[in-house]
Amino acid sequence: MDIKITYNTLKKFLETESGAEKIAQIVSLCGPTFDRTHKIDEDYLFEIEAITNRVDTACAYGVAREANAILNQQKIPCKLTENIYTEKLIQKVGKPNKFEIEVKNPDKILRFTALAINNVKVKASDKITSELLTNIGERPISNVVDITNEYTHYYGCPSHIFDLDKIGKKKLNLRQSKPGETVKLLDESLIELKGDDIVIEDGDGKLIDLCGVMGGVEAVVDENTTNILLIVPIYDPKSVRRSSLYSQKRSIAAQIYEKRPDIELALPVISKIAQTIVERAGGVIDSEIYDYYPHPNPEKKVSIDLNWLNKFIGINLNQENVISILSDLGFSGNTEGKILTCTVPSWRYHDIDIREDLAEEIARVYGYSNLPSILPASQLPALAPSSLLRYELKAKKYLAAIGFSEVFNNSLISNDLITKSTLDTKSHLKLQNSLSEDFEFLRVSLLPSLIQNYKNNEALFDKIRLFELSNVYLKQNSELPEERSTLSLTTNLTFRETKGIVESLLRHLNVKLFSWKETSEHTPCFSKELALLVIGGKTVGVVGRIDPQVRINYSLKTDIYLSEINFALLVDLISPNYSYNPISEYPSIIESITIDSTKSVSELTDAIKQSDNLITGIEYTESYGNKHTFKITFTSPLKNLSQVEISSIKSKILQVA
Amino acid sequence: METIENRLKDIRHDLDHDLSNIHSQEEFDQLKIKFLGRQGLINTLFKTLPIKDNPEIPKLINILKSEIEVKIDQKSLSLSQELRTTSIDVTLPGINPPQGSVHLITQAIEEIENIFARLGFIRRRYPEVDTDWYYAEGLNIPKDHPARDDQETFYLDKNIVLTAHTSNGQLHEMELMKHPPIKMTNIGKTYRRQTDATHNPMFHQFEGLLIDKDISITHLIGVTEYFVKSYFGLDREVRLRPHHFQFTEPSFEIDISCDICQGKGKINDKRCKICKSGWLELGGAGMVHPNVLRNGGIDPEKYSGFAFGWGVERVLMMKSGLKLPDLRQLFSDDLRFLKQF
Repeated sequence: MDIKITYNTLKKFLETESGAEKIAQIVSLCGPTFDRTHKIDEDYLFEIEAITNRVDTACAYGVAREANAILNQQKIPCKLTENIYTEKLIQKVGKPNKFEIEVKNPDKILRFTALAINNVKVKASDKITSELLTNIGERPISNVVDITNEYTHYYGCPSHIFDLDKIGKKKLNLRQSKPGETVKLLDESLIELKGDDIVIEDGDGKLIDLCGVMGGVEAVVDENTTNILLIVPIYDPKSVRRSSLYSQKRSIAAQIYEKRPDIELALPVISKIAQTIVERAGGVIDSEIYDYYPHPNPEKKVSIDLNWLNKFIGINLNQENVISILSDLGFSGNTEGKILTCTVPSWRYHDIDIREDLAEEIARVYGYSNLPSILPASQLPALAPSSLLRYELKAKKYLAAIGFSEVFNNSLISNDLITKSTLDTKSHLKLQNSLSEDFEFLRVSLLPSLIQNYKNNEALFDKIRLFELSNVYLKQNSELPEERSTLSLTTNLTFRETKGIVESLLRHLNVKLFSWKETSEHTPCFSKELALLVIGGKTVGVVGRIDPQVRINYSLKTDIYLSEINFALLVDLISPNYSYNPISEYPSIIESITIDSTKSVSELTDAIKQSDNLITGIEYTESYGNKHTFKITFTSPLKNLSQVEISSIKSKILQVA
Repeated sequence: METIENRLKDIRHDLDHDLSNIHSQEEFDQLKIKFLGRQGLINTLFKTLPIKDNPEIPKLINILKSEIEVKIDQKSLSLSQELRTTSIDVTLPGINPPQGSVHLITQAIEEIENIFARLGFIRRRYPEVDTDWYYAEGLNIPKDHPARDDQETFYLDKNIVLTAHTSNGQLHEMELMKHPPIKMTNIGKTYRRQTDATHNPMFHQFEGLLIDKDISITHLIGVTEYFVKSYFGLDREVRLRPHHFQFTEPSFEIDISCDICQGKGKINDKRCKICKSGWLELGGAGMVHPNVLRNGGIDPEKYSGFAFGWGVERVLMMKSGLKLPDLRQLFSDDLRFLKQF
């Protein structure tokens, strides 16, 4: 929660010689962050970020309390000038005789204090108050209303004033709203309630307050008001948050209530406000203070072992220093040996629970910047990293080195892209709360985006080589999808060149044994011109020409070639060891052989390989119709091969046709 | 005899002609073979002329042979001179192999991984799509906590989210390792319902987690400083500010000094436009909350630890002086952009 306070307001609570800039700089490192400091006339304006669990610092008094503890630790002279919790009340607590209050929703009203003041004179605020409110970004309204806003700013405890004479039968019924009820708020907006909001209904059945969010116009204070009812309530945080969010009224009060302000502030604050109203607007206090407080918070204690503390922070702190820090922050307590038992102050009731919370208080006020920087000398963990991550990087670097550019696409894609690439939308996981149609489905293939990437570059470059190596998300029977590392390529090279790229990558990754298989099954995105990559009997990927329909859908100017590989599976099949074949001392003989056959080249290659174990290399050269030419290498590890031996192997080879 | 002399004369003539037309080593080698090779002109003379009938003939051939040898040797010398001085336009552009590129984000991830690896942190990959337990409840964020209605999280259903941070890896790592020491970085894709100049709905985070005996705040500072100085440079400073996260206690916001204004917050008396008073936010960190340790099966009485989760794109943009006006440009597929890195 971002708040603004002025330097002069801070000095109302904090006696110090320190300048605004210095305070901002020091306090930021140990407490609330002063995002910016602006010079204004004779004053400074601080923009301060109060962290969500520290609503006690969302006001001038709270910031002063923090600053006091922090500056003290830095040996900078300063003093907190008041303790609001111990000041004498302006009026005693008792029964309300001028108004009636009934709480019908006791579990939502944590505390409710109220007080009537008669014969006030409503007019504009004085210059000082108006300027203060303007500086902190609020609009001055009238002397009495401005006082409530001013005190919220001081103490972080919201309050509200009704025109007592506009409250039907001077009766307030606190209850939960019913769905469809409407309330008109002070800003003239009419809110249709969803039900279960905290509201106040007067004796005539009118709703006069959307509690914790904004007052209603029905009992608004105006220039004719003379008798007022001042309330300082504390409401259930979740209810207020809900009402505030859906009604889109993010008032300061709502932002404070949803973060659980100090329940013990209600009485002292109502007393202070009443006193100030009498001072500035005249009037007489016409009732005792009504105080509904059914379940006061029990005392809360947290213990901390100083030995543990020193280990946890990493340095040895002096015990007196620890105690003085805690005491400046409002903790009281006692020490037994090295154990400190601290009583948590009311304004920290909801954020201090365990010893780690106390450790934070001590360490931050001591100053994180006073802690040394130490590299931990811990043992190495027992489990090695996965090879998948290593191979992913190796593959990426190799592909980049042979001309491919890596793309990062969003894991979330549109229905449009899925349809264009002829994939089935139903096979995709769909977000419940997508941001837009563009990012709605978790992709099961990288190709829909990668083809689009190609399309986007088509007009700019002659040769395009793109790849992505990312997870795809596949539905499974289990709760979570399979996140599968996948590699995809798009190129406008030829089929054989694209296939060659995959083959060279495989060799680079130390995959030596792989084969290509034809298939009659349809693979989305691919035409019939495709080959399956098979390693160890498993289909690992596919290379092929784009499906003509997909080409049309993406309006591509030419055919392109695609490949998609299950990279996770591929990595499982990589041999982690290198193998070594001794190099023969005897020269190899290389001969070209042309075979006339209707078999496929890959079948012929396999068959040639099997025909004799002196064949140590087969290189396909070219084909004319059914005539296929291979360059074949013959090597013996034991001797020079004679022409006779070669001829006999060659005749074996010719039989494979 | 006359015809023989004519033949020799023809060869001499031939040689002179050939020699004057030689400009490369290959042509020279061929010429040598043509005249002096096994099947060369000289040997052909020996084979075809009636040398046995006339002892003068071999004499004449041998004279011719040594003449040729001398001329060839001379040519060899002059040719090597010629080849040394003959030049092409060496300023012509080289012919390059096709050049691709590893994406900037991959490069940043590799660098980050390596920095932490030097400190013994092992990189893991944990789910991007995870259950509420690992993502929130197990990290000490109860079902009804206000942190949950920030509306930044993508849901697949009530219990399954696209992780908005990499901290879900913390509990997975504790379950995997069972016992400290635990030292891991989880670098992965994360998702938030945001898109503007500094947010892409998908981005990357790196999570660090160290759990062992006697791990203290000073260790968190040490590791953070090691990373900042390794990644951004030795002149960058680190500071911690108090913050609040549910899964760490205490929690910090970590800032590093701004390189544009050298941490002063001002350039020539004008407010630095890049930073807040000389500091840039790196991200959150903290000591692992005892509830989170317990949820991961680790006894907080015996062990303590720290964790942090920072944005890959964020450190990349902070470091490189890329001056990208929009973070989303990192996810552009334009080869004119990609090939720059």
